[in-house]
Amino acid sequence: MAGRHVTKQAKYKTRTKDPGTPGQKHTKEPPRLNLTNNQNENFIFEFENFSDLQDCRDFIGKLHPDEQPSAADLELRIKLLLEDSELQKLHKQFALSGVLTEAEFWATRKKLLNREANKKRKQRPGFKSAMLEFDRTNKKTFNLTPETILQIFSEKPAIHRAFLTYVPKKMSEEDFWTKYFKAEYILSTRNSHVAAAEAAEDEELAVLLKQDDDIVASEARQKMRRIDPTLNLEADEWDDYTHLPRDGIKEIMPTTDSPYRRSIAKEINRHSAAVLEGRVVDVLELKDTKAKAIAEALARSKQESSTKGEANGYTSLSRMIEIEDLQGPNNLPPPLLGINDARDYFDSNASGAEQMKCSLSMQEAYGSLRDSISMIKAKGLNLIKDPIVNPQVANQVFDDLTHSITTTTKHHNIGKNPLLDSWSRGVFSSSFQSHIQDSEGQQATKIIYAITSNSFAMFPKNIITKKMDKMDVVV
Amino acid sequence: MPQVKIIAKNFMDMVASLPAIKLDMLYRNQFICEAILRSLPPLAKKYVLQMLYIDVPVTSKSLMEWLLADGSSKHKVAIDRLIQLRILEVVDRKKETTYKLNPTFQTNLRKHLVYGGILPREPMPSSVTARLPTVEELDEYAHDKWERFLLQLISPGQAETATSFSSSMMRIFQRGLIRQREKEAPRLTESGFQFLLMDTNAQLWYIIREYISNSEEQGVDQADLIAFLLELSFHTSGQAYNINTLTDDQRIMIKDLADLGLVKLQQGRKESWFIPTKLATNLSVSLTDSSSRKQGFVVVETNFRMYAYSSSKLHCEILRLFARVEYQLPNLIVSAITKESLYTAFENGITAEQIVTFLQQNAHPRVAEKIPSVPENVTDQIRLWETDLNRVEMTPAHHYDEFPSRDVFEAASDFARVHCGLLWEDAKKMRLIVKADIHMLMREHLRGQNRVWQRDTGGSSFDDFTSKAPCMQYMVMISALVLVETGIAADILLNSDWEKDLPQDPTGRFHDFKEYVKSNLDIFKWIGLIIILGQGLSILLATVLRALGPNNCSNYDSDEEFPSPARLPLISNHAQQPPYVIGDSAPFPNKNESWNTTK
Amino acid sequence: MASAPSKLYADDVSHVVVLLDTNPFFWSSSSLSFSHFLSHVLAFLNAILTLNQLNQVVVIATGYNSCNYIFDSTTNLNRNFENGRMPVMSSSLLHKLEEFLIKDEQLSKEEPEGRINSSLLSGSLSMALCYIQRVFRSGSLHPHPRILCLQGSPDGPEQYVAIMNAIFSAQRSMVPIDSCYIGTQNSAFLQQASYITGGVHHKPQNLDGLFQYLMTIFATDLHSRSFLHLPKPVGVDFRASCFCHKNTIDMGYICSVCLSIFCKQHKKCSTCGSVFGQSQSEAASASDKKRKTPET
Repeated sequence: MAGRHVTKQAKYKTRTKDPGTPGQKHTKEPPRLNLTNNQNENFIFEFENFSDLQDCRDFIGKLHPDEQPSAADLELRIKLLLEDSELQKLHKQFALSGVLTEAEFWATRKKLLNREANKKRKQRPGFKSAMLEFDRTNKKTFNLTPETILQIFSEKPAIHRAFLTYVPKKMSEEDFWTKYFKAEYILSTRNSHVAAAEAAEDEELAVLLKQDDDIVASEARQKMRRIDPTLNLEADEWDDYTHLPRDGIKEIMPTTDSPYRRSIAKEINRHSAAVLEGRVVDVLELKDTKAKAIAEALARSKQESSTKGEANGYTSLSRMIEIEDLQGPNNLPPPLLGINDARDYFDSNASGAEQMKCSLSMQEAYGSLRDSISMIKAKGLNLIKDPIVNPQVANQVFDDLTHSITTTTKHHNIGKNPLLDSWSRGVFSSSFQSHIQDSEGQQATKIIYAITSNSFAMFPKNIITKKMDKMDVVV
Repeated sequence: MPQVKIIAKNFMDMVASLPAIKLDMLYRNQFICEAILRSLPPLAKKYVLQMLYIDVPVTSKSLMEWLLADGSSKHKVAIDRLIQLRILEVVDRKKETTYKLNPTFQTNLRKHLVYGGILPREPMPSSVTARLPTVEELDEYAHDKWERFLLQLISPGQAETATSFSSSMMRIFQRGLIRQREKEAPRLTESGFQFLLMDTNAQLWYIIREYISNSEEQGVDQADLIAFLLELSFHTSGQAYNINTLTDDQRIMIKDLADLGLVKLQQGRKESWFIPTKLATNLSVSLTDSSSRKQGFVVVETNFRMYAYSSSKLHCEILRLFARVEYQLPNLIVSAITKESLYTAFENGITAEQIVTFLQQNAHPRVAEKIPSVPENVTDQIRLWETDLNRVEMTPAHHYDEFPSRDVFEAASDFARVHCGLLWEDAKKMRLIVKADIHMLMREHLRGQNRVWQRDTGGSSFDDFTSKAPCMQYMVMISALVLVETGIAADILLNSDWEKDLPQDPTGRFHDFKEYVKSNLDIFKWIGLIIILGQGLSILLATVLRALGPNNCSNYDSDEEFPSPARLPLISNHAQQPPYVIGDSAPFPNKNESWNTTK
Repeated sequence: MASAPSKLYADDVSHVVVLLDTNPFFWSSSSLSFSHFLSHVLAFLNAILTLNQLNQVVVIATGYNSCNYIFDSTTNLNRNFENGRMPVMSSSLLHKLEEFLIKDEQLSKEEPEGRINSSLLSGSLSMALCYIQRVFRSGSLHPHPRILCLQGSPDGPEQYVAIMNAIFSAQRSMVPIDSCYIGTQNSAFLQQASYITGGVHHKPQNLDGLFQYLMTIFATDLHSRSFLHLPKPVGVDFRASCFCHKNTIDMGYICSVCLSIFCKQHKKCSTCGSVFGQSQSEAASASDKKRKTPET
């Protein structure tokens, strides 16, 4: 699409369709491009073929990246329209008639598009959970499909490695497989002597006969490296109770066929690991179903996963190290908390103590206390007047208390807070002003308040901000 | 909770029910003021305290100001109780409700606070009383006495040493607790069982209440008794008081109280005295009181075995109420809690909760330390067995069917649903089951529906839509028959040669028949007359039957609005069922999972 | 359904520990005479004991130099009969109080004069808490205790740490501290004590009606408080005393390790010994200079 001009032949139309032919199939329609300008006028171009349309659309799409969807999107839309006659009808009704623009129409159906797109990412087929069984009898027919080959390779890394080293250079693929099945057969007889003899004769066969212990071990090591480094694996090492007799039956230790038994267990484990891991390489995706290609693809994917795993391990390690407590100090200046001009709110007590100082000497003071005690003793509790409390006084006290309770309950949420009142008088500490200037001001007020009075917690925020505004004016 | 039945009518209720003059008299005694103050609900106590030194009336509004949102019910309870006891006097109800303390009560309580109380009698000096029992001995004595009394109460045959209460007196105590049928062993009633499971103080109050109400019948003043009892509760337990300080009535009474274990009577050389026990001094304490709790004796194991370390027969009897006693050792009762034993308990009206609290309250000190003191599986099982009995919930309901149309049915079911009364519906057969509470509403609704429906169907009579198909058939048949008959009769009468209308008879049998009729005309005249009469009578009978028809008992269409008396076919299989309603107020199981598990 | 009254009534049992201020310097300068105060308080205590047979009252005298238990209703069992002038509990209390005052006076002779005339509130609070702990440990069945401070003397900033510790331990054991301040200024300590422990703080306006205040506010048992409004102060004075000079301060420095409060900046925390970082102190002082200039 080089250049700024694209020239294609097209017919210009004002309407989408000839009104006379409403029932026409979508497929038969000529390729059209519907352009809408800012004034909401439609320009419809009918092209001769789809590739012309595509070119034009791409060109326009470049001019208006927002408006024009990509070709893939469009394909998807067309597909959807074709599949769903109802949608098609709607599309015709709204989009083509200009009620909605194309983009608007599809914006509401994003889900549909997404779903369609998601379908593409289909589930990866796994392995069959049945184990490979090559019918280890005298029968000599083997059925090798790419599927089984893949399974063999992924379950038996030794074979995989041997295949990669030998096949193109040393022997043909067919020879390799013959050897492999021979080895399988020998293994199935469980005759170690025969195996030894055969291995002595044929070097390649010996390789195939060998168990893939070392590779498995190295893989295991690799996996261990991927484990979260903070996990203490050694601590769990002794959590193995398999040596203990279970259910009262001691495990019968295998005598002669123990290596085979163990190998069976290993095979099963390996198989299950492979099944769980899933299919790394999609055989169907590989156009070349040759075993060689499969083997190489598998090797590649393994390489990738191992490097990725390693990287993961390191990132998790570094993440672990980053613990908040160990970070350097946050260098925010500590906001000062303070209430100035507290005199009208708090009674300062330091001066009071001074005032009270000793109008009497100590002896006199104690003496007066003792006097009053003996006076009570002599006269009883009804000291001077008969009721200890004058009923009028009592009533007044009760009324006062009731009144104060009424007012506190009524104004609890409205906010008759002396501090706030003092604020509006515009007396602030200088340190406070400086706080208002920086952005932390609001936070600082909150902190002061939260500490000063519990009723503050109920203050609506707008009151604070209002006060803040006032303060700004004062400043 | 049925437990409340007994306790809620507690002692103070009785005090409150005394006439005003007697109450005022009671308040002259400082101790009674104090005791009554103690019996008040907490909020009422607070009100008394804060009004104690206020002379002017206090408005109810100012008291209410102190209350939090959820306290208004408590306020009401407190004020009600204060007014009942005449501690508060309501002044000036017109403008605003104001309260004022009872002046006698007020001055006495003020005095009490400032001067302290003076007891009506001094304890006797220890020189006169030779040896007073220790507190433990006294407790033991009181406990023993009380237990013996209870045992006598519940199983009169078993008590070895009968108390001095006369049998008539005993019968009064037993009233309500024990039911005796003729020729049958006396059986504990529901409240009797609950009485046994209550704690001692509650039991004591119950008995004393009975005692007081009984003594009034014998001419002793109730107020005096109450005053004496309250006074007694302010004596110091363990001190001896001279019996000569008592009035004659009180002296009679103190003997009875000694039988209950409230006081111990002792006789000296010259004088006799009484020693109040803990039971007496606890009288004025609010009902449950941690200090009066007895030591527990029951150990319950997870295997539903129950070991009671007690030699008391009373305990054995109590345990027998809900457990199977297996064997008894000198100081141990071994029993098992079984499903059967519990079911008998439940049948007797004991609740699982009562049993569980009994077991918890009487847990042996060793197990009482543990949490929970009664194994959880046992308590859970007891509760489960109880709920087993209550699986089916009964809801009175009405059954509606035979709706004229689906619209009416749906409107009705919606209506029921809106009023939360729909229990069950069957849309296919158009049947509804609706709670009995909204039956009246439902009726109104259906009546309204009918009016609408009638308008829609052009004012056709109500008859037409309540399954009247058979009725219609019948009417048509009858009218057709009558028409044919009258037609033939008219034809015969008016048409002179009607015989020619008859088809020709080639066999001549008809002619023979005619001849036969003509020859016996008299008899045939009679036969014809009888047939006509029979028809006329049957029609008459039908009208009469309709008029007296069974639809009068249907509360649905017995309204005068529909003058047509007959809505039901005579020949109808379900003629007995009024439309819409069957099974009037029949209890119908709730829509429960367990439809059929009624036991 | 009305639940059994047994459940309803059993909750209103009170166990009150009353702290009486017997500071002679305060009473010699107070507008309310000590005898009036005593008569009101004694009547109040009597009222509490009257309310419920199980109510308990313990009185602790808060003196100038010492404090001591002067009354415990659990031990004074034989009440109710006396000469008729006053309840027996009052006379025994007065007797003990007199003895206490004599001892307190002797102690003050030994000590040099010159400190602020505050009474030993921290000591009596601790004694009250010790007593309450004993009640808690006596068994599972006991009424829930509360503390009532009847205080008139000014706060002693030197007791700040001790009082705060007492307050927090009261808070932990769920013991509310009610406070009734009868002095001229309000007490920051008592405000904080009541606020933190969920008690009631009140400063009576009309001291002649002290008894009425006591009866209406402080006689309310803990159970009833769940459905009653009690007067609440509009604000609470949260000022602290510094650990270094025992001054009451509005603004100060706090050790980030042990939360000790200082009025001046130190190199090292005197309480826990942690050294304050150089960089931070520099930053702090730098920003301090900026901010504090208008103030100084």
